[in-house]
Amino acid sequence: MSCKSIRLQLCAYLDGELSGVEMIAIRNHLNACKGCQLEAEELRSVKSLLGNMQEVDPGEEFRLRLQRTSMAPPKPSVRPMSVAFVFCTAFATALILSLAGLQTQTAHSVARPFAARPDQTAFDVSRDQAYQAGGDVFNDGSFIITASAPTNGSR
Amino acid sequence: MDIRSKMLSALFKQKTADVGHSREDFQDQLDRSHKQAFNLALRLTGNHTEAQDLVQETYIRAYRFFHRYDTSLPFTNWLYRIMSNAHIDAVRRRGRLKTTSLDQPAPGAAQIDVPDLQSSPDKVMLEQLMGEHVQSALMTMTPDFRTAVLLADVEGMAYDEIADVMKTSVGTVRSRIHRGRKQLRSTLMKNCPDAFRGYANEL
Repeated sequence: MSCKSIRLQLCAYLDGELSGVEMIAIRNHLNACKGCQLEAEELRSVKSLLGNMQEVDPGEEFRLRLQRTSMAPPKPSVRPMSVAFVFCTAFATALILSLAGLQTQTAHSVARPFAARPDQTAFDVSRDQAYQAGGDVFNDGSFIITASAPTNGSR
Repeated sequence: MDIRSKMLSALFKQKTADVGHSREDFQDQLDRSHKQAFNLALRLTGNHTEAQDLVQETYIRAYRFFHRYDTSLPFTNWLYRIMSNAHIDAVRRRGRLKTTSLDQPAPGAAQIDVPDLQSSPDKVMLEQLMGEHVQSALMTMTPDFRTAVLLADVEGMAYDEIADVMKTSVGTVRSRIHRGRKQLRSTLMKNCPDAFRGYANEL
C-alpha cells in the first residue's frame, strides 16, 4: 500500500474502525515508514486533546431551569382525543345547540303578531254574531249563539 | 362502538404507548444526561450562553417528541440527533458559520501564553493550556465536521452510531472525521506549534 492510501485510513485506524487485516497492514506500514508514523502521532494527539478537554459542570440551577422550560407546557401527542377535549367539545356543542334553540323561540315570538290576525278576526266575527244574537259582548263573554232563521222579508 | 367504548379504548392505547415515555421517565433521562449534553453543546458552540440555549432547545424538542423515542436505544444517541439538528438550525438562523481567526483574535478575547516547553510540562498541564486553542480551532470548522469529530472523540461513539445521529452514511462520517482532524491539526500546528509538538511527544 502507498503512503497516500495509508494516510487516508489513518483516522479510521486510530478509531479501530477497520477490519483486522487492514489494521495489521497499516501497523506494519507505520513500523516501516517514519513519515506516516509522524502523521499518525499528530492525528492521535488531536484525538487525545479533544477527548481530554476539561469538563464543565453546568450547575444545579441549570438542571432545574431545564426541567422547568422543557417540561412546562402540557405534553402534546398524537393521541386520538384526550378526555378533556371530548368533554370540552361536548359542552361547546351543547351550548351552541341551546343558543340555537333560544334563537328559534325568539323567531317564533316575533312571528306572533302575524299569527294574531286570524284570532282578532275570529274575535270580531264572534262579537258581531253575539251582538246580532242580542248578547252583551262587553259585559259577559258567555252567551249562546242562536241560529236565526232567515226572515221572509229578506228574500 | 358507542362513545364510552371509544374513550376507554383511547385511554388504553394511551397507557400502552406511555410505557417508558412518562413525564417521570423524561425527567429521569434529563437528570442523567444533561451534564454530558451541556459539555457537548459547549464544544459545539464555543461559549457558555449559546451552549445553555442549545441544550434548552434540545430538551424542549426532546420532550415534545419523547413519545417517538425508541427506549431500546441509548437516550443520548437520540438526544444528540436532536442537538445536532438544533445546532445546525441555530448556526443557519444566525446566518454565520462561526469562524474565529486565531491570527487576529476578537477584541477582549483571552490570550493564552504557551509556556516554554524546555521545562518539560506534563500532559495534563498541556491539555489545560491548549484547551482554548483546541476550542478556537473547533470553531473554524463547519458544524457537520465539528459534530462528527466531537461525537467520535468526546463522546467516543462508533462511526455507525454517528452516522445514525447525523442521518448520513458511515463513509461520509469517516470522511468528515478524517478531514476534520486534519483541519484541527493544521490549525494547532499554525497557532501553537511548540505546545502541539510537545503534547504529541508526551503521548
